[in-house]
This record gives sequence, C-alpha cells and structure tokens, in this order.
Amino acid sequence: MELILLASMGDFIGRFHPLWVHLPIGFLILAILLEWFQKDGSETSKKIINFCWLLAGVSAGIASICGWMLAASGSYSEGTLFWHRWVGILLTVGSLGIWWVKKQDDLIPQKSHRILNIAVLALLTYVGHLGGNLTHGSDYLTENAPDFVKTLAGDQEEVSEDLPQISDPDSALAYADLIEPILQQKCMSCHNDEVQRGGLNMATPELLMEGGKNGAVLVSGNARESELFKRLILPHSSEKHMPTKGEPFTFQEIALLQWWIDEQASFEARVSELKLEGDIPPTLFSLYGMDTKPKPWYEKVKLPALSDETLAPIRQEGFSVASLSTENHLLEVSFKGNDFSPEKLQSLSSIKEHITWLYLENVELKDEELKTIGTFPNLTRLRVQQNPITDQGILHLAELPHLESLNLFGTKISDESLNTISKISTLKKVYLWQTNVSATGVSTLQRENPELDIDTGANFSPETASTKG
Amino acid sequence: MHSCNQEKSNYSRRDFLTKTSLGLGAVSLASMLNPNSLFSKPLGPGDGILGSPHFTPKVKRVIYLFQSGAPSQLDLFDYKPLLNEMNGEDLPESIRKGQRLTGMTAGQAKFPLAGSQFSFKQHGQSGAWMSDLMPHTAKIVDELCFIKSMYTEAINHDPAATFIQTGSQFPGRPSIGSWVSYGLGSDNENLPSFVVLVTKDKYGQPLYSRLWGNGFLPSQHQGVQFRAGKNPVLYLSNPPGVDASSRREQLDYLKKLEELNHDKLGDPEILARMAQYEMAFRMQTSVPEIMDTTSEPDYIYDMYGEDSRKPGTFAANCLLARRRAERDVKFIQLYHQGWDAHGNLPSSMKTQCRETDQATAALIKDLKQRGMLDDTLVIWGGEFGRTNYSQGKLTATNYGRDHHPRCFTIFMAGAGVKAGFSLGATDEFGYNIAERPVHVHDFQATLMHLLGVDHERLTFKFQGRRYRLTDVHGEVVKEILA
Repeated sequence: MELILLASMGDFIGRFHPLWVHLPIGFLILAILLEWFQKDGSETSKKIINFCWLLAGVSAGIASICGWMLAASGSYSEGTLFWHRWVGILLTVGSLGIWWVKKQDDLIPQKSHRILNIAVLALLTYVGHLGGNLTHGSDYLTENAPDFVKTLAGDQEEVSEDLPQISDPDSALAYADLIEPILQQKCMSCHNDEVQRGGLNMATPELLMEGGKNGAVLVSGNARESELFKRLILPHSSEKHMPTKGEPFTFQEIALLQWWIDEQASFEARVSELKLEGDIPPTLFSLYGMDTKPKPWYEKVKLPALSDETLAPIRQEGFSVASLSTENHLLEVSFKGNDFSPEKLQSLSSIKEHITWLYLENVELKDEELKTIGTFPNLTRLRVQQNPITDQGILHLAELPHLESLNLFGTKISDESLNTISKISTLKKVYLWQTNVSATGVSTLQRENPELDIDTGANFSPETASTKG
Repeated sequence: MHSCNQEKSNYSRRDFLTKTSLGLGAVSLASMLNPNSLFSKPLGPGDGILGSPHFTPKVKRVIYLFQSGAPSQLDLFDYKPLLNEMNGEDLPESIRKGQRLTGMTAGQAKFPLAGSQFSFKQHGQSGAWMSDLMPHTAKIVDELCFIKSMYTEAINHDPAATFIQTGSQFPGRPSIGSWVSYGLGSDNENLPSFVVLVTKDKYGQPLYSRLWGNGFLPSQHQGVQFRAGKNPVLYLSNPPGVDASSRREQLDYLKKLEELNHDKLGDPEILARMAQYEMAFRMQTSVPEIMDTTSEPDYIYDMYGEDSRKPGTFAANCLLARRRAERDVKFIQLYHQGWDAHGNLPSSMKTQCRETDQATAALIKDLKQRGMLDDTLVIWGGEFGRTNYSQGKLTATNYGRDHHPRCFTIFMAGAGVKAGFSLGATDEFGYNIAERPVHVHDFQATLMHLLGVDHERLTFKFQGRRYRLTDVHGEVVKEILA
C-alpha cells in the first residue's frame, strides 16, 4: 500500500518537472546577463548577481529531483535521457558551486568568468534541447522547417504514405510485409529506439514482444486479450486510445492486425501459411494488391519464350499464335486459316508444352484429332464447339492434367461423355448447349461435381437442332 | 520550293539528331536483347504496339453498349424509397451543398424531390434492386457487376460523353476502342478491331464520329461505323463497272506510288492510309458476310426480341455485335440515343427500356451459352446520372430529371469481373456518393487492366508529351475483379 502510494507520488511530482525546469533557465540567463552588463562592480550589484546564481541552483535542484522521478516512469529513450539527466545535475551543482565561490569574495579572475558563463550557456542550451527531444520527439524542432534546414539537420526520415504492394502470398511474410508497415505508419513515431512512450519499443519483433511498462502487449492467438489490439478499438475519447495523435487505424487495418494476432502473431509465418477466410482476402487485396485466390494453372507454369522462327511454320499453316503476355510465354492458339486438316493440327505438337488456350471452333474437327490435343500437358482452356465430335473423341481428353474450361457446345456428344468429363478433376467450366446430353445426365454430373459450372444454354432443350451462327 | 518545305516540316534537325544518335543506339541495344526484333513486321492491323499484353488478359474483346443521353439511375437501379416518402419536398441544402446545376434547372425556385414512379424489387441470388422497367435484365442480375458510385466531372452531354469515351472533356483524344486497337492490334485481319454500331432513327443528343475517333493515333485505329441498309460501310463497295481484280490492280499501283511518297516524306500517315485501303479491300468480302444475319435461327431472333429482325434497331445491333465478337473484333461500340429525360420521364423511359432491355439481356445470355462470356466483357452505361429532383413541374404522373454528374450507375457482365456483385453506394437521397466513388478514369483504367494493359504504360507521344487514355489519373478498381 505504502509502496504504491510512494510510486504514484513519484509519478505525480515528476509531472512538475516541466514547470520547474524553466525557472533555472531564466535565472541562469539573468545572472549571466547582469554579470555582462554590470560595470561599476558595486557591492549591491554583486549581491544581486550572487543571489541569482543561488536561485538558479536551488530551482535547478528542485527541477532535477522532479526530473528524476519523471524519468522513473520509464517512457523515455535511454541514451538521450542519460545525457539530459547528468548534464542537468552538473548544471545544478555548477550553479551552486559558482554561488559559493563568489560568496568567498571572488577567487576567480575576471577573464575566467566570461569563459565559465559561455560554458554554462552552452550546457544550458544542450540540456534544454535534449529535454525538448525527450518530450516531443527528435523530429519536433525541424518538422516544419524549410527543406534546406532539414537537410542540414540530417532529418530526412520520411515514413511512406502508401503501403507496399505485394503480389505473391507464398513469399510475403505476414509480419514484415503486412503488419510492420502499418505499425510503422501509425505507431512507431512514439514507440521506437528514440522515444518509448509507455516503455514500448516496436523497432524489432523482440522488443515488441517484450512489451511496455505494463507488461506484454501481444498475446499470441488472442487479439482480444492483447493490449496492442484493445487500445485500437477503444473509443477515440478514451485517454488510452491509440494512436493518440495522427490518423487512427482504419477498419481494414484493425481487422488485419486482429487476424495476425489470432493466427499466433508469428513473425516468421508466410501469408499463405495462415488461414485466409472471410474479409481477410479482400482486405489483403485492397490494401496490398495481394491476390490470395488460387491461381489458374497457366499463371503458375513458367516456360521460356519460343522464338519467332519456331512459330513461323505454325503461323504459316493458318494458326494465330500469341503469348499470353510479355511475362507469360504460354501460348494462345486459334485457327484462322481455311481448310483445317489433321496434318495442320500435327504441326502444333512441336509446341504442345506451351499451348494453354486452344480455340478450334467450327473447323470440322474429328474425334481422331482430339487424340493429339489430349497430349497437350499445359492445356487449360479448350474450345472445340460446333464440330462433329462424338463421345469417342471426348475419351481422348480424359488424361488432360490441367484442363479448366471445356467448350463442347454444338457437338454430337451425349450423356456418355459426361462420365469422362466428370473425371477431369481440374475442370471448372463446361459448355454443353446444343448437344445430345439429357437433363438427367447433366443433373447427375452436377451432383458428382458440385463445384463444376455447367452451362446448357439459355433455353436448354437437347432436341434443338444444331445450328451455325 | 514547295516540296523542300514539306521535307523540312517532316524531318527537323532535332529529329535527325535524335534518330541517328539515340535511335541507332536503341536499335543496337534492342537487337542485342532480342535478335528477332530487328526483323519484326512493320506495324499494321494485326500487330498492336505492345506486341503482347502487359499481363495475361482476362478480357479478349469488349462490347460497350453506350446509352447516350444518360439513363436515370434512380428509375432503373438505384432504389431510393426516401425520395418517394419525401416526394415533392424541396431538396435539402445540406445534401446539395451548393453544388452547381445546369442552366436548365439552376433558375428553378424549388427542387422538388421526385420518387421513382416505377416499382422496385430485388432479383436473383445477389438480391440486386431493379425497377420493373427492365424485366429481362432483371432476370440475369446474377451475371451482372454493378458500379453504383460512378461519377464524372462534366455536367453536359458533349463533354461528358467525350470524357467517358476518350478520357478528356475536350475533343481530340483517341477513343477507348482506338487505344485498344493501337495497343493490342486486331485478332482478325479482315475486319477492323474497333467497330461502331449506332441505333438508326433515334434522336436526342447528337453523336459525332469523334467519339470513336483515333485522335492523334494512326488513323487505321479509328472506329469503323457500320450502318443498316445497302451500304453498311460507306464508300466501301466498288462503283458500278469496277470489279475486284481491277480494284486490286489499282491498289497495287497506288501502293507503289505511295511508297515513293513515303520514302520522300517519311509521314507515317501515308502508311496508315495504305493500311486502311488494304483493310477496306478485305472488308469488301468480309463485311457482307457479317452483316448477313439470315442464317440466325428463329429462336435467336425470339431471344433478342422482335426488333432484332429490323436492321438498325438496338436489338439488331446487339445481334450483329455478337457476330462480330465471334469473329474476334476487339472493341465493339454500340450507341443508343434518347435517354435525356428532362421532361416526360416516365413515358420516355418506357420507350427506351422497351428498345434495349430484352436485347441487352439476350446478348449476355447468348454470349454465355456459347462460352464467349469467358473472355468477352459487356458494358452498359451512359455519360452521367440524373437528378433526384424534378426538372419542371412534378405531378402525380409526370416528372423530368436534369443532368447529375455526381453519381450514376453502370453495369458490366462477363470476363474478369465479379458476377452478381454491386460496388459502391449513394446516399439515401441518391444525390451524393456514400461509398467507394469510382471516377470515369478509374473505370477506364479497370477496363484496360482487364484487357491485360497497364493503363500507365500505353502511351503516345504527341505535341511534345506522352498521352494516355487516363492521362495522369485512374486507379484500377480492384474490388470488382473476379
């Protein structure tokens, strides 16, 4: 009980430091100014000056005691505090010393007086500046200074306004790439190596885990118990709401922080290793541009570009061949020429690894030719609509390892093919308008593959005659 | 003397120095990096300036159903029951906040709030609100992606339409379709990659060919307008007595002459014009084929509506748009006028919706069943929105709405955008945006993104600086991407 009282008395008295600290500053400057301008050397003026030194020493002493107690509250940067504390005490002792020496009827020669005064002024400026830095942060003085002053002061640390854009959830680190940039923007100006409000330093994961003067701020796996999270969602009017100045956390940032703490607040985990559900994927997308959706196969395969010499003979056959993008060298191939033939299709075999989108609509493609297509390892999108293809041909497609979209509209396939289609596990979309499949067949397929998107046309009627548009 | 001056104007000392020093350096560097580029084909239709898209495109072609005159979002999509409750009351100043109005209503003593006279219902799994003006579109809302928080800077038709089509309120910039054609080229060498279809015999705010103009881009990238009737593309067919072979012969000789001309002057527009002559020659064969819809079965006509049998209607144009998309035309721009309902809004909206609703829904369904919605994007929208207060007298059965740039609704369907999704919201007065504003430039940036183009990297240098569709603006609206 007693101890607690004493501690809180210390906190109470400590807060008077800023009040007292300005008195010795005034008295010291007054003493030095009077010494400077007193010409007659009369006893009265000497007495007045001496009295000023005494006042300076005593008030500095009181300020030092208050300061010591304030420092004990622990929210100040150690390095700066050390020099502020001891230079302050030196000034106290020095002032009292000068007063005492002067009382002994001037032992010091006039010249030394000047030097001593300049030294006192220099120390006073230094200790005052440190005090300002401790209270307001080291960038306070130059924050609004013109640029050239900032450069002179070496004050260039600018926290970037935008969050970094990250594309790959497999390589991005949850803390270093997602959470730390937010803390940097919103928290670290008061919780860093220089200033540690509440004793909390966020500069490194270790220090963040250490917490502040009231203990840990992070409870792994439980955001609601973590001070770091609780302070964010307090009402803005609350004294404990964080951050106390500047932009508050946005809803998305709070959600992300909560997610990270609930996911064990790991500093090593990669984003894709954590649970990504609910609002988290869209939040990651809108804050960091990070797409956590499973990528289609054609975005995952990396193959070197094929040269134009390789592609020229294929283009000669009437195929249009194009890379998906400047970065993705897989190919989109469609037939634009006349007189499609099995031989022409064969020419694609030389580049079959690269073909991922293949469009052969309305070219009289036969079952036999699907055999060739069935060996294309990276094929994801196949459009063979409006061709005389039957169930026999579809069998050849069963082994395609990465087929995602299959367009069979206007072909002659029947329910038999649906068995084959059902086994292509990578398939996401299949188009069956104007084929001979039955409504029961389609509903069976849908039952077996609930995720498969099956399109049977706007007015599904298997009897409708196949027509060319 | 005359020709001397011409050469001077086409090839300045600065050009010479840039091209010889920098140019040669760049050529040698480029050929070191990629030996093939030295021998690449000259630009023409079929080759976009980008070569390959910046990133894998979700959308290979766009059908943009532009609703000219600005449809009233408050009577179609943006359901605001408060306006019905406060029908006739003055628009509160706390909502208007002194914003500018057009000269047509700025002088009104009162701004009586006008609730929609059409009844709204939620539709589909997504629960999207639609009025009963568009019964067909209401049935396919789960395919649609609405942006209810679009806004623009222009308050009048000409600048607003020019803005949404070209990225600038001032005339002279290339249309979106021209940028797409310039950047990505054509997937069908027999047709232009940017075509335009305008509903026939509609009036209202005028349309002008500069909306689909190429601006400062090479002129083969301008939109080619197809008309209903005997001559779908004006001046395309040979005059009586000239057959295809003599036309071919003429073009070959013309080409030789123009090449001489080009060697002498170095004007790239000469090449552009030759490319257009050649395209026109190929189109003499390809156009009659795509204009002929007689092979379409009856159930397709039924789907698009009775209008689709009448050439030149919006419905017929939707059907033609599908046929162009099937032939890999990259950018198909439709225009339908008559949405500018300053007065008699209830009756004019009924007419407009009757002309467009069924065909719009049919186009989307038809593309879907053919598997084309996988890589085709359909866009429906006007140039701005309409006010929540009545222009002129508000009666029990009649009202009008003035221009309102501060919010409007567009919808998209197809590749790359979320289906059954709605982004953004307006306040309960339907006057200001309450949630996720999307600027016209953001919409354009998103459109380019879907086509695999980084809107910041498709530029053209003109009059000393580089221009792009979105100029120095535009953020991709990531929330709507599927």
